[in-house]
Amino acid sequence: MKDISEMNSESNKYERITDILKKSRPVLTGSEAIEENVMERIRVRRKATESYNFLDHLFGWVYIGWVRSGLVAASVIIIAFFVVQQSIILKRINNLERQEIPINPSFVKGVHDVFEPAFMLDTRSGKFSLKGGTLSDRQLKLLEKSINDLQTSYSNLIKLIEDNPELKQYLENKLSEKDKKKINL
Amino acid sequence: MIELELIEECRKGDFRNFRKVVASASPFAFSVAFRILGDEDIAKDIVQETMVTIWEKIGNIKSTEAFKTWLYRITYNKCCDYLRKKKVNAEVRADEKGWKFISDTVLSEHNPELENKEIAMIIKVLTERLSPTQKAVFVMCDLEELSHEEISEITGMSRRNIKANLHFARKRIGEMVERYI
Repeated sequence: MKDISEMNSESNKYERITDILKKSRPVLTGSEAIEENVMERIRVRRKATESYNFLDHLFGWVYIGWVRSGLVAASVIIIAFFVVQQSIILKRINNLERQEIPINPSFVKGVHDVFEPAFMLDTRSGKFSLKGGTLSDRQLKLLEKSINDLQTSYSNLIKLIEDNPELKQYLENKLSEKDKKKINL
Repeated sequence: MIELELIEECRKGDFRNFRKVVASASPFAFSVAFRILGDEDIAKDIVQETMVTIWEKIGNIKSTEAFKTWLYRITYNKCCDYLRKKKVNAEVRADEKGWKFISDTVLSEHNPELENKEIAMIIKVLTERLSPTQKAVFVMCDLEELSHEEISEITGMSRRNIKANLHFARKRIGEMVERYI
C-alpha cells in the first residue's frame, strides 16, 4: 500500500489512478443473454446465406461476364429480327391491298357497285356465286335489263351476220383458223 | 482465458463450440469497448457485433495465436465507427463532482473495487480533452496493458504515431490530475 504523502507528485497520482483502473476491469453482466443474441444473429445470417447460396446456385450463371454480354447481344438480335419481320409483313399487306386480282376471262378491279353485296368470287372455280345474300329489286331489274340488252345485241348481231353472206363467210373462216391454231398448240 | 483449440476448430470451419468462444472472448472485447465508449449498453452491442464478425471471418486469420489481437482490432474498429457516427466525445463535460470522486478514490488508503458506472465516469473525466484515437491508445496501452507492437497491429498506426498519441494523452491527463486532485 502506498503512502498518501508519496502521491503528491503528478506522476504518482497518474500511476495510482491508472493502477486502480487496471485492477478494476469492467464486469460483463448478462453474458448469457449476449451469447444467446449472438447465436441467434448467427442463425439468421446462416439462413440468409444458405438461401442466397441456393439462389446463387440456380441463377448465378447470369453474373458470368461473357454469358451476360451474350444474352444482351442475343436479345438485341431478336428485337432487330422482330422489327424487320414486322416491317416486311406490313409491306406485304400493303402490296396485297394494292394488287389487282385476275378473274377468268376479265379483270375485276376494286368492287362493282351493282354486284358487290351479292356476288363473291370463288377463286378455286373462277366463277361468281351468290353467298348468303339477297338481291334487291333494283339490282334484279338492272340484271334483267343487262341480260335483255345483251340478248337484243346478240340477236341484232346474228341478224346482221345472216343478212351479209360475205361477212358470214369471213367470220366462219376466221373461226376455223382460230380452231386450227388451238389444235396446233 | 481464450482456448486456442476452440479457435483452431472454428478457423477450420467447425462452429459447434462457437458459443464457448463467445463466452471466453466477450469479456476482453467488452473491457476495451466499455473503456473506450464509457457506456455499458453500447459496449454490449459492440461485443455482439464483434462476435458476429468473428463468426463470419474467423477463417481468414493466419494463426490461432493472432486471435486476441484480431479480436481487439475488430472491437476497436467498431468503437471508432460508433464514435464517428455519434460524436459522443463532443458532449462529455467533466464536473466538480466527478473530480471529487476521482480525488477521493486516488487518495483512499485501500484499493477500491469500482463498479462499471464509476469506471466509466473516471475514464470519461480523465479523457474528456482527448481525441478518440488518443483515448483508444491510452486505454489499450495503460489500461489493457498491450504492447506498442500489438496496438500498432490493432489500430494500423505506426509505432511512432502511437508513442506520440500516448505521450500527448498522458501529458493531458497528468495536467488535469495536477490541477484537480
